[in-house]
Amino acid sequence: MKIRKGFVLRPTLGYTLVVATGDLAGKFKGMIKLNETSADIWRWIDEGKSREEVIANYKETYSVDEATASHDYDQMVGNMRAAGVLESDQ
Amino acid sequence: MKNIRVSYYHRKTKTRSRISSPLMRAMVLEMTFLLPLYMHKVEIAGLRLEFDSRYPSLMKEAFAEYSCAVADAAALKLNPDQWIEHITSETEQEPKQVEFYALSVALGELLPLHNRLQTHGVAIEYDGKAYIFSAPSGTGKSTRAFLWQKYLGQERVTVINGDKPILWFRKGSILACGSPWAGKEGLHKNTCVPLGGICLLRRSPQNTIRRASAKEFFNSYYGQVQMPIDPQALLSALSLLEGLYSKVPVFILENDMSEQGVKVAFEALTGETYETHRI
Repeated sequence: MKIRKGFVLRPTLGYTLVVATGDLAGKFKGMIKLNETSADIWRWIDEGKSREEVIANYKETYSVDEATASHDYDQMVGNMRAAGVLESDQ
Repeated sequence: MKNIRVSYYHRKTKTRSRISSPLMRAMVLEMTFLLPLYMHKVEIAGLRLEFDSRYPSLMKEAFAEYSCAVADAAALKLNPDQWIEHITSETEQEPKQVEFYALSVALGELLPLHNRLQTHGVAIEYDGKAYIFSAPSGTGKSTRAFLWQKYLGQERVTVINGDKPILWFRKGSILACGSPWAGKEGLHKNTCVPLGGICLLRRSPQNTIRRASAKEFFNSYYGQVQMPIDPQALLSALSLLEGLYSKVPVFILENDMSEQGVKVAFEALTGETYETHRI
């Protein structure tokens, strides 16, 4: 799974905002607002970490159990896929 | 174009018809494009601007206070046409009104690249300082400004802009500036005044005021600032928003539109005792 090229993460006033730049800017207008946990998941996916690695990091950073971590991860990925942020998996 | 309501004014009968067919709407908009263009030169919030208009009389009147005869090669060129599609309105608007508001969108798109932001709110001036009341439409921003005039003096409280004040970020200070886009009351003044504070308004039975956290400020104010579509301008706008929060006190005012609400806001914003200023 890969995040499309061209998104800039910009911490602003307590949130992390995602702004599309370059060629992506024509497709994505406006911004995506991330809180602390969703920004971390975004970054880890962007670093190329697998589902298992992201969930392990998440559990460690936020001291949550496996079920919560995998639920949050799946929800975040679902949101990213719905928003068209991810490159197609093929 | 689907968000624009186009209406046609019949000169003879002095009536207006709403044009609902998409084809007709497109034709009316198309026809307006055939009118000759007139160049206007204005200066708003310290920026020289130039634009062409099909409606010179409307523009002359609307921009009267801001007109600027000096030719300036560095003036920013505004092109309202590409923004006409972005105009949404609850009320029916004539094409010339649509063009007038499209100009404000065109300007708002460019402003962050020039250290300025187009905001939504009411900016008033009292004693050399500007204060902004911000809230979604219909929450009582204008009413609050009128309450200040009632209790603190009609002459001492002036409205800089009743709908879209422009913020100008300069070294050391942020100025609230007037512009001709001033909402239904049309209150505006060609002036730039140092900004003393921002009040985010909330309706409530109590009258309390407190400092807004960064997240509260972002969540309430983000929607009140024109965020450009261009990514570079958008990133600049975010930097300006951060600068705004770090340099100017931002409050959340819960109020019930009473004098008590004026008092708590006045004292928090100015640091002065209300009773010594009340008329």
